[in-house]
Amino acid sequence: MSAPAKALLEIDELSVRRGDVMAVDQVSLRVEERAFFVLVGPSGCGKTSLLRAVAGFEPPVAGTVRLDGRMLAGEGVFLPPEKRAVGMVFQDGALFPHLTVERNVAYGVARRPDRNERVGAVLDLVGLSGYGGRYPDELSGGERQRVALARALAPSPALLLLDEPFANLDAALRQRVRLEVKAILDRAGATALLVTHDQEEALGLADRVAVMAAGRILQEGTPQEIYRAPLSLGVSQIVGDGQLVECRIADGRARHPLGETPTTLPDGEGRVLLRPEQLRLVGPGEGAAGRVLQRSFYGHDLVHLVELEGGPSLAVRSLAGDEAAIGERVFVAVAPGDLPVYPAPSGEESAAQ
Amino acid sequence: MVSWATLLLVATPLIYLFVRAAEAGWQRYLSVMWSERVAELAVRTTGLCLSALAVAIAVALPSAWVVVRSDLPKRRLWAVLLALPLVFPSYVAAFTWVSFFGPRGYLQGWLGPLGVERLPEFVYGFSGATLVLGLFTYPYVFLLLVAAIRTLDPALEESSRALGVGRAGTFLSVVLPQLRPAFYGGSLLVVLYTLSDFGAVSIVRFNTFTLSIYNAYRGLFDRSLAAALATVLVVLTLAWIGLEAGLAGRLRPAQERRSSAPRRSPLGRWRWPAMAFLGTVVALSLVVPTGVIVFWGVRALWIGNTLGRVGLEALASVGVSLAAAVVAVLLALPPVIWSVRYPGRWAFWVERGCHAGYALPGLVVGLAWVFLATRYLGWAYQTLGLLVTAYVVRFLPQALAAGRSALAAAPPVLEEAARDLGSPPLEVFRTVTLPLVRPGLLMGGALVFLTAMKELPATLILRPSGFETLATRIWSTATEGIYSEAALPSFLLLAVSAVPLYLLVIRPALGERRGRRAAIGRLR
Repeated sequence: MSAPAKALLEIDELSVRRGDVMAVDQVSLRVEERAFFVLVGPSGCGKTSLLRAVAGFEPPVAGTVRLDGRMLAGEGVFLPPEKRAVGMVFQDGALFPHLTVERNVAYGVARRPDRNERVGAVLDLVGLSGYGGRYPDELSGGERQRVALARALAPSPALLLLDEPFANLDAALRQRVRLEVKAILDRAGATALLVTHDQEEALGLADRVAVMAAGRILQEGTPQEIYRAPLSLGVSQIVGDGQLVECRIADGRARHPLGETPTTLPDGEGRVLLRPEQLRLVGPGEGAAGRVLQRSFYGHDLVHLVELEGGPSLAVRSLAGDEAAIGERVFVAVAPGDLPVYPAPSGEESAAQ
Repeated sequence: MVSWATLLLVATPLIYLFVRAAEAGWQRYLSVMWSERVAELAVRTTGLCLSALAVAIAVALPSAWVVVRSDLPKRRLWAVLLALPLVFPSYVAAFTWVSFFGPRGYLQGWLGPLGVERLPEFVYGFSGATLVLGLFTYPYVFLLLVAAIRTLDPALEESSRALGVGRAGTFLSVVLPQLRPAFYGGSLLVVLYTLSDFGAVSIVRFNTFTLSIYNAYRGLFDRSLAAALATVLVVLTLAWIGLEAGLAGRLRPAQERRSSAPRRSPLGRWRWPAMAFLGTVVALSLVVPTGVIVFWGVRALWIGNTLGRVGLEALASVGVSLAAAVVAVLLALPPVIWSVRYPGRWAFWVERGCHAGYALPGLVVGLAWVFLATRYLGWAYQTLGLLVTAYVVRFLPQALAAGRSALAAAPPVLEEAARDLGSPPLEVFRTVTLPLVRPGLLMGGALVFLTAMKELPATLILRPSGFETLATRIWSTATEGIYSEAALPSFLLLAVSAVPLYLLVIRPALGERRGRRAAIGRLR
């Protein structure tokens, strides 16, 4: 990575109200130039409201939004969407059904003298030159999303917003279109802010990720940081298929059914985060004993659900070939390395989960 | 094979109409065709269609937009009020308007003390016909637009805004094109209504094809002329249907989308102008006709008119309409079952053909049966049976559409499941198919009944002498200007039809989701 780029989008203390709820609650955020920034969170966490406030579809009740130093919203200013130079890609593409691909893409550059070249260039960029004469209903889901991307890129927006753009594609297509979109945005040199509820998408695409819940940002960082060291129980549950196991903390060590790990937390009850891929089936003598309850085969790997003797049930991911039968007695060990430890949730917090 | 019989019933009179028109000789036919009279009628009729349509759209588009997409208070109430003019038959609308806005009508009476001796005669002729037909058919466009605006995908408008196009530009280039199907569908309904209207144009005295045909037949006793003019009207009607089909065929299907509530924008300083506009529409097309009917009705009772004779006419209306409803539902079933359960090219075209009555003005259907009966079925001429037959031909499409949706409620897999559980076919029909299909069929029958109650021109031509329905009574008293006598039968007619129309058409059409599409189909 090059020297620290400047912040293109600056959001400060932004609050957006939806009905009686604060959908976005005093959120601050920086998106650097040419970054691919992903906001991830469960549905209803406020991520879409935040995006719509940046686009100009929802007026904020407090805070400011600045793009490249220009005030978009706040301090008495509220620019309408058409004056913001912010591109947006919607969930289903939102292509105009009555216009051809070409006229869809030309829509935002209609008044520019170089419109034809521009349309040709972005269609080329998304790999759809030659599709100009088709209508949206003649395209596949993936093609539609690429046209939507081309349409949003055509006016060369300073910032591109993507609202769950892959949510309605089927699983096989989703992965491919994601990679295509990422490559296109890299080539275009665009700055993008994407919202999704899909953590895999967030971790796979982003340069930086922010995890959002109940209108607030819980943690921000690179995908690796977020995955390896979730700051809180909330983040650990949104990102990765982590399983939280009760542990006892004493003298800076957290003791759990599979061993112990260092922690800075005070003595008492705690929770340790164990991911299925950190666990493995081992030979007798090592690890903790348990019995296989269920087995799901995924081709490249498989997951055993193991009920530890006198303890919790844990999902264990292992490579194909390393199999155990249902009901078989097995031993589970955890890979070496420190594990995240959290204080046990108070009554209030666990009720909110 | 019963299906073919139904088709025969619908198609024969239409075909015979052309035969009859040709009978007087091609020379005569062509001389009528190329006369200035026909050209003038075509211009007048088409002009009236276009001007009524312009009024209907000018009223319907802003009303529908405000009702769905603004923060107007009491939106639901407004929507119902704006849809309600649908319940007035054109002749009731026309006579109430003439009695209110006529040169010496109520309005003049109120303005008299201010020195207004006479109002201009705008309520007659072209302007009157335009206003009456436009202001009482706009609900067709309104209901279709409300449904279309509700299902607009907000992401399309937002995409347009994000691409740098403002509110007005977005409305013109993105919203209006999405509303085209509703415009086309609604416009066709308004135009077909106007083309086939006889009641309103005869009362406001604007000569169109229907009125000329009637006068040729009744006044001049020139049946060849009437038949020739009727063929032109049929061709004109088909041309409009073809135009709509051509335009609608070029539309691109909209993408499927998730449902979400329409976004409403605040009216701000437009709040009062918007309310004033909607209030004026409701005043003209709902308050005026209702007020006139109630006023004259109460007065008629006051000065000693009895309900006795009107009651008999009401019974007559109910009787023939009920008969038409039952026969229409029974005749609609075979072609519907054929085309739904055993689809194929023949089944498709037979069912299509049975829809012909929808395209034919009632006057033309009536006339065709008169020609056929006087020539070949003398024993049937001037019988109630013939009148009921004409109703059936005219309103069969409503029964067909209802039958179609009724049958959709009973998919064959349910019958198969019942057979599989050990029931013999007849038992299956009684215990599974019939209960599922019954509500739809009843609905179809109710719609035929309601429209037959209001039917005027075919009734005028085909009724046995001395037989009066509410519709013919209203029309004959209204054309003579005896509004007090027209008010009571109007009141009865509305009393019978307003509530079912509201329940069967208006409420579901304005409602959410499921029932809406079916209800909109029922507008026909």
